[in-house]
Amino acid sequence: MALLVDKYRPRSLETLTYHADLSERLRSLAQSGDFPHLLVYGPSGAGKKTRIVTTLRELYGPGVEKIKIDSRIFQTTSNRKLEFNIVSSVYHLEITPSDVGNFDRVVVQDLLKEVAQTQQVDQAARQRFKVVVINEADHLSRDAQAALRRTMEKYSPNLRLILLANSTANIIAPIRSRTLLVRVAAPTHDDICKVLQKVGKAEGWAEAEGLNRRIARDSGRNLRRALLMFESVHAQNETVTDKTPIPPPDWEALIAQIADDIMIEHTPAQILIVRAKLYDLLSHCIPPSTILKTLTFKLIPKIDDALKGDVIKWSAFYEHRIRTGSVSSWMPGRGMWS
Amino acid sequence: MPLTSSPVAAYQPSSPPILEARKRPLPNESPHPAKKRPSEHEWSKEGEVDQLENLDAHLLHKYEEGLKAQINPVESCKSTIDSSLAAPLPQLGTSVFRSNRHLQGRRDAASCSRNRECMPFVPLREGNLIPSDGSGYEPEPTSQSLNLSDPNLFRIRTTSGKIFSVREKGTQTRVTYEQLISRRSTTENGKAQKSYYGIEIHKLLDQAAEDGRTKKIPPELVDSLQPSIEVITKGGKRSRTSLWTEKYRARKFTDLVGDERTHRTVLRWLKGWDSVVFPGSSRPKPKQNPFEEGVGEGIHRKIMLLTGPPGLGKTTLAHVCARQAGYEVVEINASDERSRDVVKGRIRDMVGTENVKGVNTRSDTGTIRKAGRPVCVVVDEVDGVVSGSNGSEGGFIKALMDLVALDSKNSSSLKALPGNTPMKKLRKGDRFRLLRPMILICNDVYHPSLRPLRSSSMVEIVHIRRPSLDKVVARMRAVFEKEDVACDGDGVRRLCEAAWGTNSRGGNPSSSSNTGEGDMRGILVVGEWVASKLRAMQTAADRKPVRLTRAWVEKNLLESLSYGGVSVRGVGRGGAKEAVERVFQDCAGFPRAEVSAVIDIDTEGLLGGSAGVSEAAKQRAIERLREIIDMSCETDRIMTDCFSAYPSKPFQDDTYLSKPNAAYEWLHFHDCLSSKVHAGQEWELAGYLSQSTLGFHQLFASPVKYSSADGQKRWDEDVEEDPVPFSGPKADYEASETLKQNKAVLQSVHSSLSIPLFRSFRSLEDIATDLVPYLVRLLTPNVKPIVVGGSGEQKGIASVRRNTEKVMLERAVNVMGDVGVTFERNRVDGGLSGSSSYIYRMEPPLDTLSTFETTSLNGQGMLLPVRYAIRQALDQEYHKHLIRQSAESRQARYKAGGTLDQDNFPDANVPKSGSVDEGRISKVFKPKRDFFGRIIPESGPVSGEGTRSEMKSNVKPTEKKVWVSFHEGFSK
Repeated sequence: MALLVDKYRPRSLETLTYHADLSERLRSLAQSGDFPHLLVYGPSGAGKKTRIVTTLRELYGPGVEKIKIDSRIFQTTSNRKLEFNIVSSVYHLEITPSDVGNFDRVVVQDLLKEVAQTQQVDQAARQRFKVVVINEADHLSRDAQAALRRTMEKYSPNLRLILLANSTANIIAPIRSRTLLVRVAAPTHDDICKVLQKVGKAEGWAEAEGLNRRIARDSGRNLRRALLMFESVHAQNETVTDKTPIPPPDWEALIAQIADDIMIEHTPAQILIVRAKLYDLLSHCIPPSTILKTLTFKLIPKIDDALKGDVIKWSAFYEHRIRTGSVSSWMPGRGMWS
Repeated sequence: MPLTSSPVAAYQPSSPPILEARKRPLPNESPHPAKKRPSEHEWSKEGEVDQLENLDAHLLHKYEEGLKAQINPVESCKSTIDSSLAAPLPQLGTSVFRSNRHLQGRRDAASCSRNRECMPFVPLREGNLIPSDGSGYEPEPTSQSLNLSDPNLFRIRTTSGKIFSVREKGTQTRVTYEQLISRRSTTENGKAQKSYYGIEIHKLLDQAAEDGRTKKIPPELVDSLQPSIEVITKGGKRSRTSLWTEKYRARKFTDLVGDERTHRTVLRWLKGWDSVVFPGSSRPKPKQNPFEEGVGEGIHRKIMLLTGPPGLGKTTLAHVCARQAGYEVVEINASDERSRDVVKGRIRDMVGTENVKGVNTRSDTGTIRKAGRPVCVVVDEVDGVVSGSNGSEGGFIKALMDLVALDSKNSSSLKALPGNTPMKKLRKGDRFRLLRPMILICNDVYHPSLRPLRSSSMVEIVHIRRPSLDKVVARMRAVFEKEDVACDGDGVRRLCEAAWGTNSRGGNPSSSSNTGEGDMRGILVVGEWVASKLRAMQTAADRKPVRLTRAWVEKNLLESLSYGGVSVRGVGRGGAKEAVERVFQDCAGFPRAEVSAVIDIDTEGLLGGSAGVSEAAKQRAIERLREIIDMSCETDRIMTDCFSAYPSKPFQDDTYLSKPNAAYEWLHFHDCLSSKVHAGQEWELAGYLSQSTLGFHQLFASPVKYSSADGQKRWDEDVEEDPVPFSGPKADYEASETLKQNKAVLQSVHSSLSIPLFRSFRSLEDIATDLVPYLVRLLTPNVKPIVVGGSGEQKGIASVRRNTEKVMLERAVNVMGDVGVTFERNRVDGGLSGSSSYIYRMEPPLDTLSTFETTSLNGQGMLLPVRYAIRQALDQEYHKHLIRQSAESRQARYKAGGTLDQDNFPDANVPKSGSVDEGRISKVFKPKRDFFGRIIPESGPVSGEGTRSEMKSNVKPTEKKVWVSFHEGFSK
C-alpha cells in the first residue's frame, strides 16, 4: 500500500477522524437492522466513499473488504456491446453507470434486477439484503434514474442502494424522497491538519505545522488532494520545512495563466490565445465546470470589488449553460468581464 | 430484277437467290394475275416469264440427261420437278406444259397422255410453233388467240386445260459467278477481283444529288406551314418533344461554346490515338520540332479526365470531339451498373479489341456493308462511383487503373522484347493493350474516390472553363431566333446574368463567390421556360407579339430567378465553407445592386428613401444566406467554423467586447436548439437552426472583403509563425482528437490502478484533476543518483548513496507498483550529434498527460524535464521490487522454504548501496530455488535469476551480450 491516500484510509467507523456525529449515526443505522436507502452527497474529497465502505464493514463485517473487479458485458437494444466494470464483494456491488454514458439505463435495469432477484447466498451473513453502491449518481441520466425508482421499492427486501453524488441537484425528486439523505461536509482546515499530522507521524516524517496549514488551504478542503499534495511534497524534498513550496497541479497553473491573460487585454486576438489554452485544458479531460470554477476564483482577486459580484454571477450562469448544453467546447473564450 | 438471269446449270445448287426471286410474284392470288392488273402488265409478264424460263431450263436439262442415260425420262423428270418445284408450284394450282416440238416428234402422244394422269405436268415444247404477235405477250390463255407463227412464244397448258402462251426471253449479258458472289458479300482480299467491290463514284454523286433534292423539300414545307415554334435542328431531324438542352446541344465541333483551347486539347488528344486506332490511314505528321514529337509519342496519356462544374458541356464536348475524330461513342453513366466487373468485362473488351462490327447501309442499289467506326468509351459522372472494395460499385476506379497499368506494362514489355518470345507462355492478360480512347467525366476532381486517378501519370486531366458571357449570349440569341421568340440582345444578356446570378454592372464582379456562373445548361432551361412564358403571354394578350427585352426580364423574371433560380442552382455548391465565408461579408457577398433592384419593386410601398433600400437589401441578403445554410444541412459545422473564425475577422466593436458576448448568446441558443433537435428528436425546431448563424452575420458582417485565397494565406501565416496548438481553423478538431488520445491514456491508467485506488478514483476526471499531477511528482523524487559504469548501449548502474534518498526512491518505487506505471528504455536518435541516446519513457505516458503545450512560462509550477538517471534508478529499483514481491509471495505459499530464506530476505529488503559490489548483489539474490521454492545449492556466479543489476554486473562478457540482444534487439 503505497499511496498515503490508501495506506491510511480508515477501515472502520471508529477510526474516522472527523464528523464524529455522522459516524455515530451511520453506526446506529447499520446496527439497527433496518438499513434504509442512502443518498450520500458532498464535495469530492470529503470522505463519502470512505464512510460508506466503513459503514459496509459495520454492516457485514470484514468480508466486504475482499473485493474483486470483474467486467460484465451488456447488450444494448441497438445490439451494441458495452463493457462494464463492477467492483464487488460477496455482500455488495459497486457500479459506476456513468461510465457507459447514455446506456446507463440498460445497466441499471439489467444489473439491479439481476441482483435484486437473487437472495443472499451466504446464510451466515448478517444482513438479508445486498447493497449496491452507485457512484456518481448525479451523472445518471434521467432514464436510468427513472428505472431506479420502482426497483428501489419493489426489491427492497433483497436490495439496498447507496447513491453517491456530489450534489443532489441532478437527482430527481422521486429518488430523493425514497432515500435518506446524508451530507458529508468537506473537512475543515483543522481536520485536514490533524490528518496530515497523524499520517506524517506514522510515516516518520518531520512535522511542519506551517506546511500542513498551507496544504490544507491549497487543497480546497479536499482531503484526498491534501494527502496527495502532502506525499508529493515529501517525495520531492528530502526535508520539508514550513517554507517548502507546494507546487500546484499543472492545470491549475495553466488556469492561473489564463486569468492573467484575460486581465491583460481585451481584444479578439487575446480571445484566440485564451481559447487555445482552454482547448488544451479540455483536451486533457479536465471537466469544464472545474475549469470555470477555478478560473473564477483565480480572477476574483485581480478585479475590482464592484465587479466581483458580476463575475461570480456570470460564471455561475455559464456553468449552468455548460450543464444544459451539449457542446461544452464552446465555452472557451467566453466573454471577459471588467 | 437484274439478278435473276438464267444460271448455268452446273451452278444451280449454289444460287439460292434465284429461288428467292421465284417466289416473288404472287400467282396464288389468282391464276390470271396479268388479267386482273392490266396496268402492271409488263411487270407481271416479266415475272412469269422468268419463272417459266427457269423451270424450262431445269426440265430441259434433265430431259437431255435422262435421254442420254437411257432411263425413263418421265421418272427423272418427275423427281426433278418434285424436288425443285415442290414448294412453289403446288400453290399455283396449275400444271404447266411446255410444248416442245423436238420432243414431241420423238415421243408418242400416248405415252404423254398416259403419263399425264400420274404426274401433274408434262412439258411440251412447241414454242417454235407458236409465233408471237408484235404486241408482245398475250395473256389470253385460250389457244385460239395464239399466234403460232411467233417463234419466241411458248404455250403452257394447265392441268385444267387452259393454255398460256409465253414468249421466250432474249439473250442477256452473262453475269459471272464472281460478280454474283461479290454482290452478296465481301470477301477477303485477293480471293476475288477487287474491281467488283465498292460503288462507282458517279453513282455516289448521283445519289448524293438525289438525296439533296429530296431533303431540301421538307424544310421548305415546314417553313411554309409552320413558321413558328418548331425548328429544324442542324442534324435535319425534327425533334418535337425534346427539351432545349437536348435540342440545342452542340453537334459539330464548331458548335461548341466555351474555351476553344480546351476543345482543341481534347480533339488533339483524340487525334493522338489515330496511330493506334487507324493504323493505315493516319497521315504522317510533318515534324515540327523533335521535342513535341517526342512528347506526343512517348507520353501519350491513355485516359482523359474532363472536369468542371455542371452545365459547362463536358459531356457534349466529349461526344462531339469523339464523333469528330471518327469514333462511335459508347457512354457509360451513372444509370448503368458500374462495378469492377463492368470494367473487367465490358470496358476491357471495348477498349482492348478491334471491333469487327459492321454497319449495313441500305441504299437503292442494295445493302452496302461498311466497316463500323471504332469505339470511344465515355464514362460519365465518374465521381459518383463509390470507392471501396465491397458493395456493388466498389473498385471501379481501381479496376480502371489496373487496366491502364496492365497496358503500360504490356507495352513496355513489348518494347523490351520486340521479337515474340515463344518460350514465355502468354498469360491471359499479356496481350491486352489499350486500343481505344477512354474519356472520363466528373464534376469534382478532388473527390476522394478519384484519388488514384489524380495521382496517376497515365491520366490527362482537362479542366473545362467557363464560357464567356458574350458567347453564351450570342448563342442564346440564335436559339431564341430559331424558336421564333422576338428578343433584344440586351434582354438576353440580362436573362443570362440573372440565371447565373451575376451582375455585370453591379460593381463587384464576383469571380469565385458565385459558383453558378457558366452553367450553359441552366441558361437553356431558363430560356425554355422564358420562351413558353412569352408564348403564353402572347396568346393571352391578343396576338400582340411580346419581345424579350431587358425591361421585360427585369419586370417579370428577376424576382423569381434571383429567388428561386440562383439560390437553387448556383448557391450552395460551395458547401459549409462558402457559407461561413458569406457570413462575414456585407450583404452576404451577394451583389448589392441586384438585390436592391429586386427589392425596389416589391417593397417600394413599405419602405421609402435610400435607407429603406439598404435595409431591404440587407434583409434580402439575410434571407438568401439563410437558404444557403439551410440547404447545406451542416448547421453545426458552420456554427463551429464561425465560432473559430470570428476573432480573426475585422469587425467594429466597443472595448467591452459586447459583440462577442452577444455571439455567445447566439452560440448558446444554437447549442440548445441543436441538442434538442439531434438528441431529443424535436425536429420542429430544426427550422430555427440557421438563426444563430444569421445572428453572427448580423454581428460580424463587414464590408471589407477577404477573398478565400487571402483568408487562406492568413491562416497559413498564423500556423507558420505560431506553433501553439489549438489555434487556427482546425482547433476544434485538434482538440477533440487530443481529447480522445488523452482519454485513452487515462483509461489505461485507470485499468492499471490497484483495486483500492481503482475504487477511490472512479471517474476519469478525478484521475485527471487529482491523481495525475501529483503522481507525476511522486514519481520524480528529488534525488541525485550517480551513474556508475556503462556507456553507449551498455547500461551503467544508477544508484543513490544517501540513506534519505534511498528511502525516497523506495517510496517512489512503491508508488510505481501500486499505480502500474513502468519505465521503458527507448533509444532515440540524437538529431545533431548523430549519436543515439536512450531515454526512459513512462508507460502509460502520464507525463504527457500532465504537460500543457500552451503554457507560456516554465515557471515554478511547471515540471522540469526528468533526469535520465533518476528514471534509470527508479527502473532498477522497480525491477528489484518486482522480484522481491514475487519471492515474497512464493514464500508465503511455501512456508517450508526454510529458515535460511527467512534470513536472506530481510537482507534483500535493506536497500543496497549502489556501488558495484558484485559479491553483495549476487549474495542478495544468491539462493537459487527450484520449482518448489527450495534452495538449490550452487557454486559460482549466479545467473538466470535475472535482475538487471545482477546481469549487468556479471563478469562474463558473453552473458552481457546475451542480455543486450534479448532486450534491445541488437546482436553484438
